[in-house]
Amino acid sequence: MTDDALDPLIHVPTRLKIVATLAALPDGDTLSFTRLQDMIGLTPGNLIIHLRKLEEADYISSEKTRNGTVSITTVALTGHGRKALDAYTQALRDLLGGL
Amino acid sequence: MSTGALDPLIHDPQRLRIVATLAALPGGDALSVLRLQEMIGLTPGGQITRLRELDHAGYVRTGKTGGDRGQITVALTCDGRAALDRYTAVLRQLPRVAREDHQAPAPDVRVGDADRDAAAAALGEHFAQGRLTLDELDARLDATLTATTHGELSRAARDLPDLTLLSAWVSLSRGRRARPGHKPGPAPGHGAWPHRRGRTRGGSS
Repeated sequence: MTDDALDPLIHVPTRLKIVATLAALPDGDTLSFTRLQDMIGLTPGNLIIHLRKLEEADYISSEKTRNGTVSITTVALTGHGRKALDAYTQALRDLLGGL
Repeated sequence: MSTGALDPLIHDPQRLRIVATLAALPGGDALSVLRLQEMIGLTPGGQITRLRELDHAGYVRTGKTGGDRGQITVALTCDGRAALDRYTAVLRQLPRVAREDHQAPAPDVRVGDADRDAAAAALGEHFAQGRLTLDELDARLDATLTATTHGELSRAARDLPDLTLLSAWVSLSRGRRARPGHKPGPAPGHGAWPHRRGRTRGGSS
């Protein structure tokens, strides 16, 4: 059974979008939660659930900074997450014969 | 089914494996279900269920070889192949999922329906996000839908930001049905994510 070659954590369309979006950032860049929400078009609650799952797997990291009264949460892909996405796209490419 | 979304029928890992395996056969060739099972390693029951789902959608068709020990065979239909093409076209729009050397095909490389549809969907999203007026959208849609090469396609999408391809994809696949097992709320207490505890700001008095 080789289905686990397609990382189930990434395969879920919403999480695939999140991970691919973060991976498109230049190395070391982060994205604010609100901006990510704009780009992905999810409700905050939904997005939080997926982000939490990805963070539990150490695919992304998040940081909360307080700027006066406003706190901003930023998200970034970890090295581990980038590797996982690379492995995922490789598996997909193998499956689809080069994509 | 909108063209910009990842087809959930194909996206399921096991069905994806079946469809990709059948698509690799030369021109509509059929494969015996036993052989297919050997190749992808699903359980007989699991494979039958997946094949039935795909058959129901018209993506595969089953047949039987002649003789008294006839074997059940399965093949991808034209619809199934078109659906897979659309699926990979959507995937290709994702930043970083596409192979680097595939991101910008040579301008004189010819495009297919899936490419045109994907480009048109992206234009629609640019319009929805206020980057194009209705007239501009019309003109660019015309150019997109009649484009024969990648050069013509990218000319129709000139001066538009790239990331919107992603949001186009995203917004088009947003209308997916809610999962029956959907959990109402996250377990509190992880990372920097806010927890639902009533309003924290402006909620006094």
